[in-house]
Amino acid sequence: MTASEERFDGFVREASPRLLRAAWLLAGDWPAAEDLVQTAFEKTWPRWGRLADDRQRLAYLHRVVTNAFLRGQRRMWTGELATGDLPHRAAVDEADALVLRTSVLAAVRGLPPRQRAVIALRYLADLAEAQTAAAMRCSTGTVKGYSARALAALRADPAVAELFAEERKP
Amino acid sequence: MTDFGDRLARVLHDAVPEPPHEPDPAAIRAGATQHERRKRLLAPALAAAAVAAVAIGVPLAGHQLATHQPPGPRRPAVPSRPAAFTASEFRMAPPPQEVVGPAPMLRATCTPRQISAIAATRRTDRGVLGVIRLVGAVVKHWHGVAERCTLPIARGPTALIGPDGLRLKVPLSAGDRTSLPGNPRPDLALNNGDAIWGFAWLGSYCGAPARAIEIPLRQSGAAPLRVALRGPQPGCEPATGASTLIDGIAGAPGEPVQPPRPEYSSLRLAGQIEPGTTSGQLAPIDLTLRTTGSAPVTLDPCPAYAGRDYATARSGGFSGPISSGYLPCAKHEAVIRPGQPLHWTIPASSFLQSGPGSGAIPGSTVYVQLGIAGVPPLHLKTTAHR
Repeated sequence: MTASEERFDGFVREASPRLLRAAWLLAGDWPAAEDLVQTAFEKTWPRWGRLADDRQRLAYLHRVVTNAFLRGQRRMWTGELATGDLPHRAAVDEADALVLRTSVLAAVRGLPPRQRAVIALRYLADLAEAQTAAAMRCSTGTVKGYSARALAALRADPAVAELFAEERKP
Repeated sequence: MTDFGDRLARVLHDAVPEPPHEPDPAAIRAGATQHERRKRLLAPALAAAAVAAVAIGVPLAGHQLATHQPPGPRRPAVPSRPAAFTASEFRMAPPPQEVVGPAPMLRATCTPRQISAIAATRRTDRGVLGVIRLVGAVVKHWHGVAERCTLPIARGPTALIGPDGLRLKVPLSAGDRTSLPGNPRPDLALNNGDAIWGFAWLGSYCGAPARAIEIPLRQSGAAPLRVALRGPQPGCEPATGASTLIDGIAGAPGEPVQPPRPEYSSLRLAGQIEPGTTSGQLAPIDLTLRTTGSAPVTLDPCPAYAGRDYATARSGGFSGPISSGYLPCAKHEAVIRPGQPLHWTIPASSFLQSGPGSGAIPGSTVYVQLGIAGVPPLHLKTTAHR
């Protein structure tokens, strides 16, 4: 194995968990998320030498994942039949937290694809506005617009708004 | 970030689960190399190569499989899928559900030379799972849409082919017939000339490596199609018993096409409908999957469950699907051990009836049938209350 291959393999192991979680929020299930991430890494490897550092490589990965997701949405790709996640019975003391998480995930999945992408990149992958704009190939202002509309939609969701309000109570 | 944004970020970090398994960097690099090579070829050359690959079949397969991989170190229970195949194709569909729809439009049938195909495997517990991808040539354009010829394939792979072009001594198993998986309308995928077919090769194998896999064509007298096979193969571990080839099912690309593991027949599904079924909705169903055998059962291929309810309304009987999904085949939950059953709950579901006389008649019996391929089906019933 060459030094580049070793560095790439290490980068895949290090970057994939966070990238997979963002892809899961976008795509809605693990097989689709794995396909998005694997495609992104496959496109990154041939450009490995041209991307100066891990920051650039990560930015490129986010761009490919986001574009692949949005392109798939435009084409109405339905390669895999969507099925419900397996619900798990929660312990009593975790019931509220579970309801909150489930409601938030459902609300995020109900957002239009570009707003969902902004939420995944900004609030789960922890990218800055400029990095999110680069990943989505749009301006920072556009990201701000999508973000504002997405947050407004989430705030307007009765289940989410109520739960956040509940959370604030002592 | 705003206060609301902060809280949203915190909830999302808690809510989004950890990935069930890591990607395989070596498979990614191999896939990337294939992508780059493909990009450099012109489209006509690519089409010609695809036809030629089928035409020369085994010799090409031998070239591609020059590096037969011995069994590697222990991997996660559900490893990454090979490049160019989706993870879902290495999963298992639930038993067939009622699907209606029109008969597909008739198209020209592919000749053997018009079919291009590839096959790949990935390792699983005591063997490998495989997928064959079959694509028919474009034979017509209809209002700007390319139409492929129909794949004349009615059954799955029947034999593995060695480096000498002869069939390997790996018997074809009928697999477990308890309850077969089924995709909705695989006939459409075959008719449209773009389909996949799954298979499993399980058990110990100590012979020459397989270079291709054979899948019969429907035309009488036509030689079977030999498809180049790449990926890992079962190891020589006599303690696991002689290997068999198990036929999977057909589907469209991206659909689950794997056959049940033989060990799935030792699994038993049990459960009960919680109190609270009304004329409008079926109460949650608590389910348990356990093994009656003495050995752990690895849930790979990852099975899906599905079911239907049957009820009586004033306007007559009706039925509908209830929530379905895959079992939690993440690393720590992918094995069912004796005495350690898997529990889960299907949430309440609406009967989806509307109009006068709709919904289950109060006091009537509601029947539910649930299934996982390879596992005996579960029948439950409850009474609908007002």
